[in-house]
Amino acid sequence: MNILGLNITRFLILLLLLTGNTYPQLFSFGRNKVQYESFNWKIIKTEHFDIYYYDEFGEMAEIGAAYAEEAYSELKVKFNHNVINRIPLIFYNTHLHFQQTNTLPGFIPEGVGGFFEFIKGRVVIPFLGSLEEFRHVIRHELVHVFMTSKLMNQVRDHRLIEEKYPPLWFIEGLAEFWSTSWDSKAEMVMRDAVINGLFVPVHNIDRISGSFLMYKEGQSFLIFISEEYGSTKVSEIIENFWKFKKFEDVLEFTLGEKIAEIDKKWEYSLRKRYFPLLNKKKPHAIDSKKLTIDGYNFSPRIISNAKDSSLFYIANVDGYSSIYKIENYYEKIFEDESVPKLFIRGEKTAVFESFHIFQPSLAISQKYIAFVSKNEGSDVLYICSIEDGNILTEIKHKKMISIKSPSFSNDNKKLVFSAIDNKGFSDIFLFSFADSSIQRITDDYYDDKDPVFDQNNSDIVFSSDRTEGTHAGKYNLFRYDYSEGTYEYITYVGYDITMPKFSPDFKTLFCLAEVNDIQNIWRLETDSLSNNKMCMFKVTDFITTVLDYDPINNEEIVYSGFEEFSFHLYYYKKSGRDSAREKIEFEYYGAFGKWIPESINLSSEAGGLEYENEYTIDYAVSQVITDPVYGTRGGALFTLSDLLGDDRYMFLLYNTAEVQSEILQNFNIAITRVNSEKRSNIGYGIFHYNGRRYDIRESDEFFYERSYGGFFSLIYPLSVFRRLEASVSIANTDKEMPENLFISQKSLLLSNSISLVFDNSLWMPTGPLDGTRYRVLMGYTTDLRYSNINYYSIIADFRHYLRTSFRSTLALRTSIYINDGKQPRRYFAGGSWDLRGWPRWSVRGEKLWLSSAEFRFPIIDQIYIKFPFFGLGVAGIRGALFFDAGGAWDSEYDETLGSLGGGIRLNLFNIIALRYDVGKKIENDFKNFQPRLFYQFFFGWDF
Amino acid sequence: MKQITIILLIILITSCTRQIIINDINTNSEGLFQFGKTPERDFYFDTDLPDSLIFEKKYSISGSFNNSSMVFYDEYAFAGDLSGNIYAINLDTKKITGTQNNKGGVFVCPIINKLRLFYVTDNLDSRNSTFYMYDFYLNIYHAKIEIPGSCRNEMVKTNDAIFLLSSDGTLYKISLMGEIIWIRKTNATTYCNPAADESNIYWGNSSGQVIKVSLNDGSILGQTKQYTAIEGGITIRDGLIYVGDNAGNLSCFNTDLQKIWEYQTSAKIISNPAVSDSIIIFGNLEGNIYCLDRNFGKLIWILKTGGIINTTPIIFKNFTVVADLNKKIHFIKNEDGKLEKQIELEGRCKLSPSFFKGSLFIGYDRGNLLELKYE
Repeated sequence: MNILGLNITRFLILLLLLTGNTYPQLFSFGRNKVQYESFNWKIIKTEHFDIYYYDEFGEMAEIGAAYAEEAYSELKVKFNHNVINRIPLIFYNTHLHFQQTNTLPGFIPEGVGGFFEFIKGRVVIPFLGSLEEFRHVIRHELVHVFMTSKLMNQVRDHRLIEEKYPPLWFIEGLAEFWSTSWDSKAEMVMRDAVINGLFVPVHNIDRISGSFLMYKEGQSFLIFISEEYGSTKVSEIIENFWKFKKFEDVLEFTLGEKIAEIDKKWEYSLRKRYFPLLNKKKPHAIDSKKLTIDGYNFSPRIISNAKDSSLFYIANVDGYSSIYKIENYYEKIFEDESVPKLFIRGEKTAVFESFHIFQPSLAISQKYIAFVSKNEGSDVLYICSIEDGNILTEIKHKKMISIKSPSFSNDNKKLVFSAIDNKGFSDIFLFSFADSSIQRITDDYYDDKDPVFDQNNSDIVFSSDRTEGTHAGKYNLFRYDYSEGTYEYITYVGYDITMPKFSPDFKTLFCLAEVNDIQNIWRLETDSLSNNKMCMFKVTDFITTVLDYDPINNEEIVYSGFEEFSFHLYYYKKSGRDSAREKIEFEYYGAFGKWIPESINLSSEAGGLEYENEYTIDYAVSQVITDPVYGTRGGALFTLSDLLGDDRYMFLLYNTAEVQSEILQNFNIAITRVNSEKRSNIGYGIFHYNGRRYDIRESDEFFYERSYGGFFSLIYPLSVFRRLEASVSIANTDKEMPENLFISQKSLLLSNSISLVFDNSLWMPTGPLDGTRYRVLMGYTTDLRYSNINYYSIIADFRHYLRTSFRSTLALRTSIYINDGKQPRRYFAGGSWDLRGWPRWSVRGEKLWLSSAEFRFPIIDQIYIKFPFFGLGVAGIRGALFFDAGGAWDSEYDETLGSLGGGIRLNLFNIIALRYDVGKKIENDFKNFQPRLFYQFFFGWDF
Repeated sequence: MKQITIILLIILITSCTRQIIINDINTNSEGLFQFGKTPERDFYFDTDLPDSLIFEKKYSISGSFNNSSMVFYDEYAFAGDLSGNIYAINLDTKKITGTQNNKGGVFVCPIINKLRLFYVTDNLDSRNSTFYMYDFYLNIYHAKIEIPGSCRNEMVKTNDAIFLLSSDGTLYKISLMGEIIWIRKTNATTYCNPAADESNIYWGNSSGQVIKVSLNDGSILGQTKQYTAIEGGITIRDGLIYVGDNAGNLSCFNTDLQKIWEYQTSAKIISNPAVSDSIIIFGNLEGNIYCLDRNFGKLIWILKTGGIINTTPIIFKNFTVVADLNKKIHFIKNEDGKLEKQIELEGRCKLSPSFFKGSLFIGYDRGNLLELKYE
């Protein structure tokens, strides 16, 4: 959630820090974005870019720089536009480091391959191992840069008042259209959408906004426009963008037809293209047996011996990616439901912080299971026992940041895998169990992956894009002779061949091949009909993609396939048709001439420059308001930060004077700096406040207070889930006493607090659904000069969410707040956020306790009402049944209050949740219900 | 309170723009009355451009320039902007004399005929454009014609008519009294500046055809087969028709639309080439500027600027002046393509350079117009 470009956790912390007198009751939870490493940033300056990289990523950064300049040259022609300002490109050498970036305040999910942030015009890209993918992402993001610059100039040139942007499907569709050709991922998604009735036409495409299908539909639509209406039409759409308020009008004007007509033609062209596939190919659900029912399921791995036939896989079924097991899977293949067991839970503890479900991350031997998990700043390869799941070994190395595709040797003595290092090189590594040594097999910028041992454990077969010559850059299979240290081609073809796997008897070598835009399983062998040339034969011929697989034997395979926009595991048995299927022969004579990626030519002044903080404004707003009661108020807020987002300054200035003579003394200023470059996030600042304050002690009372001082805070994340917070503030205050406005009280307040916060909760649209959150705080506030105020604070707030089904939960909360001493502040409760039914903030005391139990469940997933001239839709209406109890007192406990009822919640655009509750208060020290019902409407997330 | 009212009134009055009313124009004066001076599009000036150019004046209009040019008459210059305005600038007093406000964008150069200004606006929030005939002496509009589609192709003025080509490939012949004489539809998307010789008008379209239409009755007299889409402008010289296309090819046709030669460059060409007696000079969106022998299409020189050339150069006897979207003006020696001088501006160059009465006019970002005088 974002407010003013900062996430809500940090914003609230900052806001509270800015007040000088902390209100610990308002502190919140949230996970931590941990900076595990300190990066030594450098800059490469090219003609149009400032490229930021760190540590040893220099060689890849120079290649990326060449890609960027190449893309610039092409895009300036496509857009007929140049970007005048230098473009900052920030490269991270792996996705794990990319997730630590402070250029965006929020968390970055695994599926995000890069982004363009338009406030500072930064492009931030992780390197994922493949140079071709690197090039694609750079070009994709630069399309965003050019488009944004072009359209902003258009709006300015035409002096249009309102800023506007095209819809997201066009923005992303254009970025894909002009950065890459149609590939297997795109084909997989579109085939599935059209054949399975998931296709959404342009006039309704908001329904799938933000999804991967939207990206690909956007790209497909632009390809269609180009083919059907002319190659110049996409550029024309951009040139006509200024002309109309609604983007649909721009489309209709440019293409000369109504949207409905265009949609019909597009859909027709897709059906013509894809429906005939049903003649020759089969869906997974028809040609295979589906083994899983829920969630996203990947990396199937089989163990088959006399004692055990289990299927292990990684899946996200309930919001947490975990490892699951189906025991005796073979017998259950033809049962309607095989119930998986949770084997290892991921993403709830720091040890298994994240499983990379989109990558092959699992390996099985007869006794062990190897899997990859993120642990702090890098991946760790865990070896655990198949029987009980106990961790036996952890494999990690400072040179290996991202790890994937592990594979055991047949004798269980070695493990081979692929990893990305600090240089960004994706290479093959070998771990020996005997001496726990790690040996590097390859060491270059080619993307080497999916290694497996051969039968004798002497050679390693792997996939790599080091292919030379005619098919330069394509992924082919190579055999590495471990004893000789040499490579040779196994396949040589112009398609991407990945994931080699031997059948258990090593008679067959299978692989995945992307032929004709779809990835299927093939097998390799020499063909007597082709003079014993090495060939590959198609094994599966599905409509949509096979992502991962494991052969049971030469005839049967378990695999992960994509269908109906979900990822499931399937069992497949070869039929006699295999011999009639496609065959591809390899001709190796074209395999010469190493391909070397272009790199930028740099002068000595332009490369490897040390990064110096460059600050620019993030946000600036000012406002003057006039109110008949409070008079005129005015103020300004602006923030600035450095290019990497590590160092931020906030300046707040406003005036609360009610008469002219008070202007000077009623200036309120706060200056804050927050530095999150390192693991410890530090904030400090100074403030001066003067004006009326609301008295928490009594309702509807205001008093005048002048307060100035400074503060310091430290946040130290122990893990992504747990952190320590500490703060100190000192403030000189002078305030009217509400009881007698002629008397003022001065004090020099020193406030300290330390907190432990934990949060591993999983969220649904209106609040947490699973996991736990808690905060424990201890604090002390004292008046150093006059001893007017002197109290300690304790807060303990514990919340747990017991998942009852996929989308329902029983949420429990219990909390205690204590301020004890001289003139302690009061805590407050009452209102929709805690004691429902009771007026907001009406329950006050120096001590407060609260408990709640709430059952949360879905009511309506989506409702759309079509009126004659417009439609109205809402999604995700959720319900709640609640019980609240609490009490507040100063010195003697007064009474226990409570409430009981039900309500509905609605998430609006992920910015705010609206809540409406109905119920009865429990009054009179919990003795009776209120006679009538209460009705309470407010906003805010569930606790 | 009274003071505030007066101040507000002053602001209101001064911020309202004056219309273009010019009573003192000398109708016998010289001028550049349309884009490229003539219907054939002539960007050649038979004079030497001296080495020293001095800064004369920087004008600012309230809008932003298009990728077109300016016209001149007597002591006045006229230009349009992308917020729909037409400006008249008095080159003597160095002031903006008046503005005609419209809603939309003016993408093409206005045309002057005697005391009348012809221009067209691409309307905002509308599928139409509007053709205007404005009398700046009498301060009245004699004609306002709604034209379906966008109008982003330069108009052509002949002795007795104005030809307007809309983006849907419809050609309008409009009399100098502001009446439509005939309309010829071709139903092909067209973003190409047409040019005309004595009897015919020629343009290219997005299907890659070059079309020849009779000026007299609008009949289609010929069209080439389809090549790559054409968004460059047509320039005619001595019976040869020159045009660039989206594949970066510069082609030369005769008036029977037979291709004489073709030269391949690396990127899209969207501006008119400039032609002199012996050479043809043009730029492409990759920022390369080419000089070819105009009769045979042989390369004489290339200058790679790294910028974007999307407007038409102007050729003098010694130099060629090229506006670069990359905030530069290049002064290039015709004989060898060497960069003699380069002026860096504060913003992107938008207008094709214009030359009138010894002054060079360069229009760039945010409505800035630079006048350089040579001495």
